[in-house]
Amino acid sequence: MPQIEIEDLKVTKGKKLICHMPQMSVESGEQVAIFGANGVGKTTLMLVLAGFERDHQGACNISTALRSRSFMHQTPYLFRGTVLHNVMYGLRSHGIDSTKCRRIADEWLDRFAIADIAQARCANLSGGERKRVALARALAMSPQLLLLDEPFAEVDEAGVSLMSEVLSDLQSTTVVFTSATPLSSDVRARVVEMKTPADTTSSPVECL
Amino acid sequence: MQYLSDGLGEAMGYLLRMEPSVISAAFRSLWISSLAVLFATLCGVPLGSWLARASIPGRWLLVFALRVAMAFPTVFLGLVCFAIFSRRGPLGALELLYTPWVIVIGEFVLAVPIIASLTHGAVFSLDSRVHETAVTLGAGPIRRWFTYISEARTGITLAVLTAFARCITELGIAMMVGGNIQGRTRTLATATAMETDKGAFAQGLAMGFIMLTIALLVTAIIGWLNHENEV
Repeated sequence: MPQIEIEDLKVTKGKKLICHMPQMSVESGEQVAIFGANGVGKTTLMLVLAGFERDHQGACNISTALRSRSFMHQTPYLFRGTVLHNVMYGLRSHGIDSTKCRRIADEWLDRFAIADIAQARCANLSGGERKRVALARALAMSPQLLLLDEPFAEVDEAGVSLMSEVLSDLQSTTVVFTSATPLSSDVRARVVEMKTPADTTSSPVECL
Repeated sequence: MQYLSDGLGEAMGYLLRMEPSVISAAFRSLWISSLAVLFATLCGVPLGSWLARASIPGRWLLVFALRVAMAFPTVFLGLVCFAIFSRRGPLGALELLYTPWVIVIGEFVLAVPIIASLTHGAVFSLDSRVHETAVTLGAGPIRRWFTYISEARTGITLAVLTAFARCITELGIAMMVGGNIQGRTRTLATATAMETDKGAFAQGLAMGFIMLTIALLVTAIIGWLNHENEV
């Protein structure tokens, strides 16, 4: 049974159809890239998958509990405080004791090459560093389903290769991410193309 | 202009000599206002943040009422407290009138709407990603609440300081239900009013300067406790 099964998913805001995914299925452990131009509803689809957008039509069955899904915004929000505080946030929420928290956090800080800024205040970080901190924070709690909205946007080449290397090393995590630009060769993922909602709803007959 | 510098000089003199009447009024003002603001914070911060996040019908009516209550004239609050705690009042049997405790109660009522309204504003205007990020990282309702408070702490600090400033300088409640009794209920504000009435401007000014000094110390201490300089 697939981990995510979508059938004719539609989200409307006001009277406007802002997101339409005719069919999509993701197997456990798979890495899927949702590719599409700006404004096709990629973020809305991610919000549905993350469980934040419940007002939709069509079927969206996800076998992963909300607690085991982790969503990263296009511009991630980092809590006030240090990088370490942010990376440990999810672990603390899951009631893991502080020594173990610290050990897991240190591992992820190392993997994303941000151990040297562990004690830095988040407000002073660059855009690329913020993304790495947010990704480390999301992965530290070992989610079964990782949802990333435009993780590679505004990240330099070295950052993209580091992030994609970490993602491809993941064993038991299903990763769904979006991208508005063609993927770099470092990124290995099955690509699902998303079209503007109007394209898919108007049938050729109506056009005539 | 002479009396301004005289006032400042006299204030310094009082502080250096530790003039007992002034020092006791200053300490009384400080503990009464601190206690009132402490309890008001314990009620107002949860109330304000709950109103900012809960989705209950009629919530805006409550927020509106709290905002209006921010403008309570202190003499009006003093009058209401007087009516409640006087001999014939519903709580007259407690015999709290003309004690510092009834001033604490009055200032508490003054401070709660200020802290709750401003906390509501600070938490309500938080980025929607705060909630989504906390949820997606598995935070339960209590941890989420602490996260809102922590993210909005600059605004909440301002709320507490505003309430404290209003309480330590308020005159109406302290005068009406405290009665400006020397050694028992005299506060810096009632002492200032009294000295000015007597024509002792310099002494009145001295009291005013001492109030400002307290405000300065309290602001500095709260800012330091809150790591305000850190983001």
